[in-house]
Amino acid sequence: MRARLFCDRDLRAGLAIVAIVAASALASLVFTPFDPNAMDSGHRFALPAWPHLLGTDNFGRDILSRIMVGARFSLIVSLSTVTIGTVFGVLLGMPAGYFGGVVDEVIMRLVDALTSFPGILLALVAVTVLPSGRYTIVAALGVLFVPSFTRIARSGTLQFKDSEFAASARAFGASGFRVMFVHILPNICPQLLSAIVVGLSNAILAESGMSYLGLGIQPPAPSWGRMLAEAQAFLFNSPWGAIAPGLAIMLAVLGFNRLGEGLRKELGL
Amino acid sequence: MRYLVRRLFTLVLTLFLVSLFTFAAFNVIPGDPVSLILGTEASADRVVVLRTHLGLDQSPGQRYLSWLSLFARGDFGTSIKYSTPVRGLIAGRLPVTLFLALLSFVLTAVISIPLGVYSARKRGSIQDRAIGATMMVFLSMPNFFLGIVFVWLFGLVLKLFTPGGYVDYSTDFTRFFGYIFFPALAIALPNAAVVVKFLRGSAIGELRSDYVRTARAKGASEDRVLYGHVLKNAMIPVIALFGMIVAEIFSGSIIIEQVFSIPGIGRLLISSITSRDFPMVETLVMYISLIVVLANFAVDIVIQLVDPRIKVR
Repeated sequence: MRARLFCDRDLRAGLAIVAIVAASALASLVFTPFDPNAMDSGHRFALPAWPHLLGTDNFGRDILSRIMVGARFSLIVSLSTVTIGTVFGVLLGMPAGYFGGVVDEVIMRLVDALTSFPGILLALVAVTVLPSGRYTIVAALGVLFVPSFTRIARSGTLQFKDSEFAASARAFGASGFRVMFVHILPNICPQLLSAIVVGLSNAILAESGMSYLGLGIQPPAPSWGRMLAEAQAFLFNSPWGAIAPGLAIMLAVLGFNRLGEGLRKELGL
Repeated sequence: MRYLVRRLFTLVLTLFLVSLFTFAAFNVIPGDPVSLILGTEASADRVVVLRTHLGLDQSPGQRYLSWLSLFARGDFGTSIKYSTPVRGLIAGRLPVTLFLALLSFVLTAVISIPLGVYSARKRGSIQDRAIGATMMVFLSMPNFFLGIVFVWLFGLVLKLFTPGGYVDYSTDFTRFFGYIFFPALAIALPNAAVVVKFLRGSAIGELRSDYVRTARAKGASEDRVLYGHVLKNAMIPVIALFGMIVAEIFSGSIIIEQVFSIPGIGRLLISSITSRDFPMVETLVMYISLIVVLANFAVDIVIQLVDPRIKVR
């Protein structure tokens, strides 16, 4: 099983990249080469070299340290965002698929309407109207992921609701909710898992977009999107300042994307 | 015809729900505006006067209906930030965004369709893998990063346009086009990547079908087989994708307008959010989602015309 698991190229590449991103995020808890917020006016716009391995920004802050801490916030926000999407998606999608009829119509039409808003617009509305706090962005982006997880949970439930194990559970007198959450849910976990991993790559993209617009995690916490926005003003003199965080976002997105794709193949979906 | 009626019904339902969401988001969630305006220490009669003035003494249902009828009549209220009617502010910027979106859409189609078909034809070759790898890069690249790279490469290094030097379409259309082309490309490329991936898969599937063998047996050239026979069938699932891409393009333009400092409704939206200009944000949200819902409707009708086999959802 293990030998086969690492056969797939997507899975291998994805795992390796995700491991790098996660390791640097974890490492930033105990160690960064420099204080990510320490300014050093003598070393502004440094190119990658020792001791600043990824150079410095317009305040002379070490870009590598900021990217490492940024990875942590990006992962925290993305993980919580996708968790919200999954939980609400399952809570809405499973009853829609299981009960069908009016329940299905009402839930799915609401979800359809939610999808009619372009993704980022929904997050922007949520950021505007929700009480502002450090993690408002998590709730705002979470809404974005509810529709897709609702659809996945619904179609998975439809697939299993007439299966023998569900029928026998009902024959033993299990309630609808027990059949759904105890018997059917474990069976749709593979679908959910690969959707969660791909969702993480979308969440990282969305989070970086929001923080580029200045609506993400608030300073002084460094975030990849805001690093890009700040570097844009100095693009002419120091394109490097924008390239480094940009590549960090791409790497993380690519990693989760490949991993999700690999998992999908591996799980035979 | 029955399809059209049913689709019209879901269109109306979606529009209703979208307006309900927007109303709820801006008029229910943020809480009581009266205590915001007067503070918590205000006297009871002043609160009552202001509540009546703002129409808050009515039930939420009544408030929704009057809100909707004002919107339908084109009275979107007054911007808090600019103290002028929202309507005029949007009207001046809407054409810019619509043009940007249209150009992005055209670029997406023009780039992705030939590449997708070519990839399917040369499947497994070095060219196919090179295209696949490039598309993978565009898929994992946030559009604003692509935009910043364009500003640097085409603007600062190659000097094909002046970053920040937006020229309005009414002043000089050629220079407007020369400026707007790069942001449109930045919006189009990630979307094109999605279409290439999809179209390649769907075209490879079609290449295995019987009619392809028949066409080849008749002596049709490879180009004729691909563009005359395969593309038509391979495009059907892709057209459905284009409905989603319309929404993606508007999402993209909200951010890309920031990157390139384009005075469209996306930029107006972000600055209104930053200054908490609720009437403005509310109207823009309704506008953008209206456009997207209608565009999706149009795409569904086109699919139906292209392929009547597709059944009513």
